[in-house]
Amino acid sequence: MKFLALVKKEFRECLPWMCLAFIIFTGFGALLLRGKVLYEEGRRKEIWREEQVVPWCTSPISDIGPLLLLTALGLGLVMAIRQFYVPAFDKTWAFTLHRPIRLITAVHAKLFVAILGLTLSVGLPWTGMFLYAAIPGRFMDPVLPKVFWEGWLMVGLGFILYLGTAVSSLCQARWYTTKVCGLAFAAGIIFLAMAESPFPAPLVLTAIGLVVLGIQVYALMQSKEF
Amino acid sequence: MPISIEISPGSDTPIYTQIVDQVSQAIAKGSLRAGEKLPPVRKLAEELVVNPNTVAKAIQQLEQRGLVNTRIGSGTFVAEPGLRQADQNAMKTVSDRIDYLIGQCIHMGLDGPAIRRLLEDRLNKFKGPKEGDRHG
Amino acid sequence: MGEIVLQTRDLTKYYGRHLALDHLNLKIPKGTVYGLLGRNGSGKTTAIKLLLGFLRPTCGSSEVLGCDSSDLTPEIRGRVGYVCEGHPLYKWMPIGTLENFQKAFYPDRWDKHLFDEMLDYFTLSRKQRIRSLSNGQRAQVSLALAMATSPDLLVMDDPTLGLDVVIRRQFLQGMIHLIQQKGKTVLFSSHILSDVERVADRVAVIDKGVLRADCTLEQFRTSIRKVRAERTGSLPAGFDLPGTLHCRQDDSVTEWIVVGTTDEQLEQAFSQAPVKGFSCVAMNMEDQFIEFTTPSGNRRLFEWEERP
Repeated sequence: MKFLALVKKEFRECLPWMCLAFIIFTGFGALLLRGKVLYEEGRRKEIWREEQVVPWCTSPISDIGPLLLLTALGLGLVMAIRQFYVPAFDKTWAFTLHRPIRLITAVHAKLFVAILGLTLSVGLPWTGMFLYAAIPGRFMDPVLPKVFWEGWLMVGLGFILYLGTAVSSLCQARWYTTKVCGLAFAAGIIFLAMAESPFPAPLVLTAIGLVVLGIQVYALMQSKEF
Repeated sequence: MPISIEISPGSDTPIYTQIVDQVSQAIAKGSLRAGEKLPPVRKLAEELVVNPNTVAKAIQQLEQRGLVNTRIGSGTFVAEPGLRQADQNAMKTVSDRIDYLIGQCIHMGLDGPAIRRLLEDRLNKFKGPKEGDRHG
Repeated sequence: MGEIVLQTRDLTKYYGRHLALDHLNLKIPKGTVYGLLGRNGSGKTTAIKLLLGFLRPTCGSSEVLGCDSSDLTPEIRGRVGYVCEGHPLYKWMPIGTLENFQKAFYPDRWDKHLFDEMLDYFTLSRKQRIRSLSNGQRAQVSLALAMATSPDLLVMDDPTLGLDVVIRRQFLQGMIHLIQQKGKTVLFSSHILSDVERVADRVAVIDKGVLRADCTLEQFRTSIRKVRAERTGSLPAGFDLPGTLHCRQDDSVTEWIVVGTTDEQLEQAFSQAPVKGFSCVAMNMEDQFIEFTTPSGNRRLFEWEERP
């Protein structure tokens, strides 16, 4: 009951950004995909004409990758700012926290909404696009399942940036000292995960990032002064 | 409410004294008659926007002066005139005020007889029972 | 004294090097309206935030309804209403949504009838968004939200700062309405003395982080007095009245502001003094407060010569 009330509030506050992210990702993603499909039709005609065809070196759906990453990161950043930075700015922290709840419940509600937002705005459209691309006959080159999970990893990186931004927002030090650490750490994880590396590494890095930043968020909320 | 009480916080007199004074005045003038019921403490407190304890204290003082009686379960009533007694503090306050007024009158140029006439005139305006003089 | 609902023990708070609160020791009994008085920046807000667990004390401790402030349980928070200066609320929410939000946290205590009545009295509609309300209207919503949770303890931190007299009166009415119910307590901080004088049972005066007074309103009002004496000659060098806060004089009259001095002490002090007689002048609460919180030896802005 209480958790639901908090979730509803957090969700409504982040909703405009979720919608924006959804529109950007789905809009541009669809355009990109359409472009690929048209190009694919062109390729088929060339094969008929037995001309030289350059095979895809990556799956066509992978080109959605950069857009997905940027949208996920953008949404994560903005949601964290809205949830953790703005309440200090408009002084509503005290109102939110003077509820008959444990502090941790307020944190859980925010995290839950962040995960939900990233899933609905980026993760689900991505799944839709992947399934569309994976329909047999859509593309000549196989659409690999690993690409699907890579996409979700990027959604996870968006959550990492969300946590890093939250840590930086909650930290009470000055920007030029330790306040920037949360963001810097998140950026580091993202960079390393995106760099070419053997399969488990990006996943492990993301997991490490989640744990470290997650613990930081909890710790900072417990000790923060409002 | 039979009388209107005006509270001025920020004056030199404490609020409960203001209430006591105004109720006493009303009883003396006859706006509050013997046996009339005063509003309950809660109601007075809400209307005057004053702490109920302050009102209770004022009622207590009025009781001490014999101006009102509280019957448990029924409420607070204006006492019969014969039962009222002036207490020393009240007499002192009244005397101080009369001194102040006399001083004002002298400044205005009134002499002794003129002051007495003024006092008589004002006394007649009071409708309450006075010695040897009853109005309907 | 009865059950204590709020208590502090040597509560101290430093912001960096600035001492905001210095070993505050307060005990607030159940059923009182407690007025926390102090100038701007005296430490009232710091004290309240520490009590409600929004700040961590540098040392010392505080308790609300028997529970330590740094670890208030949801049950305790559910019994405490909190209204703070500025009344920050979620700007995007319509009043109706905010009502549902609040209601969800107090399923057993929510007084729908009271909330409806208050909204009706304030002529506010549930469709209005918080951002479209004036400061005064937002304060009204804030009061209604707090009171409708049927709090056992209502804590208000300068709730009427910058608001007009009508709103101030409504807040006072709210406090009185609450205190009429058995077992309810109100703690509010204010520097509008006439409001405090109306509703407070007890007052505490905090000045520069230090508790200067903690007594009933009546004790405060009767202890601080102005004594005037017309001099017939100069007063002896060491002459002083017990409990003097300030002393001022002009050509013929000397005025003392004294605290807690009895009539007997005054009689005794003046018995040998070259004065024509002395009188105690009644003071209003504002003057009493000003005199009480002005440091001794502080010059007045104009005219009167301050006696060292």
